[in-house]
Amino acid sequence: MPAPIRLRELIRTIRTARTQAEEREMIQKECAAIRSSFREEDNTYRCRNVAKLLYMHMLGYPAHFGQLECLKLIASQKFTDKRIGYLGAMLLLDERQDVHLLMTNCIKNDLNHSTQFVQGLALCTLGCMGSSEMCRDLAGEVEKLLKTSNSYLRKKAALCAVHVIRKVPELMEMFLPATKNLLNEKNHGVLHTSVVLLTEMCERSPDMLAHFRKNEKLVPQLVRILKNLIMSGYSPEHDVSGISDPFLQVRILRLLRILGRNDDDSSEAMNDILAQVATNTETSKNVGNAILYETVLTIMDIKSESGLRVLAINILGRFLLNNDKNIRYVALTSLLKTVQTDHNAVQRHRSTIVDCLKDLDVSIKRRAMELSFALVNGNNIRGMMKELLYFLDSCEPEFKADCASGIFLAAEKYAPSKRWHIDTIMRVLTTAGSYVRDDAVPNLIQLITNSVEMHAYTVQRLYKAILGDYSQQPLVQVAAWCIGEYGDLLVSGQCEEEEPIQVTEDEVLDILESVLISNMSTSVTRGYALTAIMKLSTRFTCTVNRIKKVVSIYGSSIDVELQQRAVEYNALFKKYDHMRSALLERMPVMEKVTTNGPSEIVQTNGETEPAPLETKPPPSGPQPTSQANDLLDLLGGNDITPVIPTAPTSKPASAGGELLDLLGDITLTGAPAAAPAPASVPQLSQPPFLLDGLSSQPLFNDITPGIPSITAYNKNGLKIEFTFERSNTNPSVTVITIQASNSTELDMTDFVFQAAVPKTFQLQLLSPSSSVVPAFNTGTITQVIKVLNPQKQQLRMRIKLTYNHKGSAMQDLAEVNNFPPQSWQ
Amino acid sequence: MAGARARACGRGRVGKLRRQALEARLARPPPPWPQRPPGRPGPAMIKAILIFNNHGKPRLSKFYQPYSEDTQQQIIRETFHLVSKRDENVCNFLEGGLLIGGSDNKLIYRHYATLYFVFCVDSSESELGILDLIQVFVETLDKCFENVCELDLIFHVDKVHNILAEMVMGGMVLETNMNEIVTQIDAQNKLEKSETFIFQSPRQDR
Repeated sequence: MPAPIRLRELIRTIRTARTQAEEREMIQKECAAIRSSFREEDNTYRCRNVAKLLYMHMLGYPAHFGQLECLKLIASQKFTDKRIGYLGAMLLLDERQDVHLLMTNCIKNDLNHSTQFVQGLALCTLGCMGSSEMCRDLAGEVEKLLKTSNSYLRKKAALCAVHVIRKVPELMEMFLPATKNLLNEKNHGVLHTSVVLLTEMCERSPDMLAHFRKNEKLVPQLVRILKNLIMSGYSPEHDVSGISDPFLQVRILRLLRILGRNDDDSSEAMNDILAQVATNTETSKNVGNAILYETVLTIMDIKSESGLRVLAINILGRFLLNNDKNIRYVALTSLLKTVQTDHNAVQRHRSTIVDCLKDLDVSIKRRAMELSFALVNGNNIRGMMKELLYFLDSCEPEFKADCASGIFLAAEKYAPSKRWHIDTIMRVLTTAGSYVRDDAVPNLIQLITNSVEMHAYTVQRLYKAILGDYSQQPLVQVAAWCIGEYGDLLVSGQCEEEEPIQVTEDEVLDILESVLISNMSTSVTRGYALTAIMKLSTRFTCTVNRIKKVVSIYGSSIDVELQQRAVEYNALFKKYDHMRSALLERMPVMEKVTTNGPSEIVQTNGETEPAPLETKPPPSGPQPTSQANDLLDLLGGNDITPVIPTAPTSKPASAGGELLDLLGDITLTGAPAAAPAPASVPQLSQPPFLLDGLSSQPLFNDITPGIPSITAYNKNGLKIEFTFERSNTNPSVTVITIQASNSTELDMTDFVFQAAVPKTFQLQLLSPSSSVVPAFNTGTITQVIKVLNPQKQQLRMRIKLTYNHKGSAMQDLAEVNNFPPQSWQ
Repeated sequence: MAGARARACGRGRVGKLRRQALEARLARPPPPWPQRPPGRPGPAMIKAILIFNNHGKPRLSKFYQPYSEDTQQQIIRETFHLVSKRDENVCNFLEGGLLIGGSDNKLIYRHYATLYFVFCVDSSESELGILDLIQVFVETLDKCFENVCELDLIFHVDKVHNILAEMVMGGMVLETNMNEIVTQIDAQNKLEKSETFIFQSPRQDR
């Protein structure tokens, strides 16, 4: 067999490939040659072949068949082989494959090798890819090397120790004795890695932190090293752009931060040196700013003197004016971190921060936007909103959704007046309408309904807004709803706030009809428009015939949703005309149920039932209700509930035709009985029988009805409800459906719900519908728990919740003891 | 048990059957890596170091966390896509790489002539410090290769890896003193050369 080609030649050949396919072919050919060479156990060229494989691996071709060859190279006597072998092992192997354990013994031998470079290779490999088994086996060797006088090995051993601790935290104490003399070292490499090791230990264990603070007097030691660094003159070895070892300085400042956090004595001991670093560091180069940045973070994190904190914020203020974009970016990032604790100090730089909104760099813009929202308060809301609305208008599409919801939140919190609030939201809808979240529409509708004195003004503004442009769907939806609801005010032209406009009934219908016809309108928007037209039939006097005509036309629409609406409304004109005016009466003022209002009923799909509200009455058994009641329920929401004292929450008996039966179900899924939900009727985006099938599908067909649901958990915006079902055939089984909803402004991700019951029960947890709880109550996660309770004991449950929220991981435990007796007796 | 297997491997006498069984195992894709349990924020560390050229061709990829080969390539592609569309006059930091750690990570990069040097780090690393580190890395390469250019990196990927290993280890900074790094690399190269002499091996150049 001829000698395999060299790496250099292979690379040259590959580089001549003109197409991807040609390259792939060459590589495949070479791989075949390498494989056969491996099969022949060729020792001479193994090294060369593995080197070629590593090159192919980098280009993205599979190279795992070289894993065992790497192990053989590691076992070789030659440094050249070992070097490639260890490199290959680090690139091709990781701890997920058991093969890596075969290396343990080789690494152990090499850690005790006589050549420092072989020892170095072994340390490097262990520190990169050592699994917990490997770390356990080799921690002793690492600890020995941590005490050696050879600085080349000592620095590598220190980082290796960090890796061991990360993999197997309980091995930490083993390294404690070796840390004693680490900081007396002269070599900066060793000092640097030692500080990293100490940082890891302090961060991982509060005991270690206390030990290093009290017994080891770590703070004075670090202060001394830092002082030497800034006082010492020029040393060519460690100089980076005129500053002595900035990397080490940054590491030390970081460790000081951990030591000083929540500790008065330690903070006191480092105040002086921090002030010294903050004032003496040369800032014409990036390195100086890196140190200054770290110093500022440390000052803000420890219990530092107030003067020092002002100094720190001022440094950040200076950073904001820096020409270097990188510096501006870190300034915004760190101001964002401190805005909660030092709000007023940050507030002073508001105008500079707002200026950064106009920056061309998206990274800086995003930071500036987040920081601007953090700075909004009752005093500056008008000015800040002006800037942010301008930003919303001009910014890239990727910012619009976040910016819009930020404006909504801030406006809700600090709005100086209702009119301003409505104007602001309308401004957002006109400029960035297609980017707002789904719940903006019901939120705004609720806001408008509740400000009675603004109805005439609002409907007039909205009418004008959609007159020229009905492409922004959310805006058109709100406008259609308002015109339907307050069309009479619009036509009568009685507006005090603004110059009234003269509109005729036909003109209003014209615009609604053009929304219905327009290609840009979504199905949901058309639904809004059709319902609005229907409502106008009781508010307008001389155009009822025109309305009848429009409604009957859509009775044959291909859009099932529209068609159904139109057919229902047609029935209302014909069979139930005597009730029409009562049904289409104006909506009552809504009470805010939660901070996010009607968003509770917003549904993204038909899979889940609307999150049950606190006030929801216990579901009663199937109640025969008259057909008319179903209709009433559909159209009226709450204002006619007195007619039906107990709103049907379960499927009504199908006394009438199939159609009316379906209508009843719209109510069921769209508007929970006690929550008036104006938006829900036009909002359903799917044909109701879809919902019907999914939402009222019982797990057992033979459920016993009538077990009240409970709220098992309600904390930090996360609410979990339990609803119960019991099987008639096996009464000892209780089926609990959990529904998790999230009322905060950010999604909760990686949501995991776990439950445990006492030993006398058995529990089965089925898989959840999703792992993300969407924000603003815009959806729920459902999960089914089956509990077998043969002894019919009182049910108790312990639940554990883990999820990620606002970038941090949350975990909580709770006991649920308030199970209704029907669920277990 | 592991030790016994390793010893067998050490003498290069892995039984043929066992090797076949192992290779069959290797042929299967590795099991998916479990996600980091939501507990504590990640420790300050570099997650990956990538070098690619202006067209996105990888010139070096080093991951300090285990990813499958496919994911590694996806990460390189995604990173190139994110970095290459940025102007020269914007800041060197970027958030939002979806694959490598999600929102907890940052991309810190510098663009030199035809090459992008990208460090993927978690949120607790100092952005400015990493920028300086990239500079040290490039200057060290320049010293080792004498006026480094893309071709040096193409033909000597293993050497670049060796230099990097003297600077960053297991995702943590090991040494920032350029002279020290160059000295150690030279000494190791000398050791390799002396071996070729002793063993009279036909390999001067791999």
